[in-house]
Amino acid sequence: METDHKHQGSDDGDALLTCAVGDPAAFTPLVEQFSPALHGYFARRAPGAADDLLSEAWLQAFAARRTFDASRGSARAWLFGVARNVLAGHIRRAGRATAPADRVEVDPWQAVDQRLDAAALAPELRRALADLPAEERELLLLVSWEELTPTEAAAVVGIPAGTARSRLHRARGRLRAHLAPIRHLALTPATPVRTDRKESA
Amino acid sequence: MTQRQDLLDFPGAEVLQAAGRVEPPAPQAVAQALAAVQAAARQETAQHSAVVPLGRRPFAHGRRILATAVAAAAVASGVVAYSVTGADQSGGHRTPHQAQAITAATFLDHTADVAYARTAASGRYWKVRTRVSTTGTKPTPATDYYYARSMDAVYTVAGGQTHKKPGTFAWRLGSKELHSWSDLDRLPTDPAQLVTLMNSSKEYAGQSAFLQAGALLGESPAGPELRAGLYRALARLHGVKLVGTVKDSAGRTGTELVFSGVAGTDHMVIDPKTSALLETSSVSTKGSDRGKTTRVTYLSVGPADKIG
Repeated sequence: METDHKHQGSDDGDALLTCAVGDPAAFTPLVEQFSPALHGYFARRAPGAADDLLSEAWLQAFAARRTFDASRGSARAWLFGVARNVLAGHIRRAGRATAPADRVEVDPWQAVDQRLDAAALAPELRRALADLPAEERELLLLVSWEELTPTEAAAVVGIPAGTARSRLHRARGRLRAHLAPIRHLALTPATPVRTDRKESA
Repeated sequence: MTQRQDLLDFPGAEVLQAAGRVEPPAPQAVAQALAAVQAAARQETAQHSAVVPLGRRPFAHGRRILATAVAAAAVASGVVAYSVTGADQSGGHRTPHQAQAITAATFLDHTADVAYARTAASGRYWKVRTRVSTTGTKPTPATDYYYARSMDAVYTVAGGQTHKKPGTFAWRLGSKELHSWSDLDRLPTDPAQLVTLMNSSKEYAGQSAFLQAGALLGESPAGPELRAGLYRALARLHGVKLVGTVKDSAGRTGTELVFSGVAGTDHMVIDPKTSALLETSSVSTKGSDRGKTTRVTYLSVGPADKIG
């Protein structure tokens, strides 16, 4: 059975957020403690708006701090949950400006894919990630980039921890299945391997 | 292998992690966030003992962050001001009607902030466990309703029996029919637009926006932004009054609101900590049903991956 690792300072965050319900001043240390992580979350998914979204997320978190319940999850997960809502609102607003109202997406994949492209990520890996169901990809990126535990990632997206573990397991399986032929090709470049996929021009 | 290595055991994991590396935020960005929070905290402290704000605050105008900063300050004052008061901040007196209207708006705006901070639903079905009672009839047993994402079928589970109701189903807001969860995502979230939409159907002319918003808040998987928008839309409705803290028919504590519509008086009980709608009830004030009360209690609402 998996045992989620604890992030350094996560207990402090829980205590601070709990104290901040009655003492607003207790909230401000959280801003310094968690801003790098939250800003990173926004920078990877909405690079041009990360600074503004960071402020918006903190104000939302401050306004809603009474809803934090340490028995239901860590402060870190709760804050990422707020950040996720702020990001979804941003994407929705931006989408409305450029797309018909009935085609607005809230998945940040487009910005994420641009980041992967800029990082010269192997096209096969990008395609494999693109082919993942959005809910599996989101969990995988929360674990990979935000270094959240499966339990924390589950709290962020609002699903049971067991469901998050299942989805992560399925995502890893899909990536292995998708990328295994390429791995083989890399090992033996002279051997043609059928991938049954159209190569992009 | 450590747990983290186990989690990232797939081809390309290291490359993916490397692609996610970003520069830490500029000090100004953190300072800006810190200043905004400190300003909100100062406002909250200053207003902690204040009575209700003097009027409904214009939420949908101006820059979003500014509006949110105002909300942050208003939340605290709202929390301590849900009881009805007859005096305003200048020492003058307000009629009970005015005070009630203002505190209802404050409460609903606070609830909107809480709703906005909740996580969005994720599951194959939306499960709603309700109990319905009507004056003069035997209360129905608690029933679980499972709404599929495509809304092409609704499953009910009551007394251990599962039934599938085939056909297409839809929630409704004004003239818009919402045939899937995705349709909910396409609704506007601006409170003014929502009010306009709710008033856009002639067929719904007799049914208040209060009830329409209540149906979506109680039964649908509306996302955090839409739920927040609906609560803010309710805050803009004239005639919504705050009753105070009550217990619903399931014994849960919540805050009750009341709205007098054309054909009846409608009530909502909301949990201010979670923004969940706990119970709605409608009392007919006209026709042969005068005095008849229909109560819907939302015993539990949330996502589910399987039926039963």
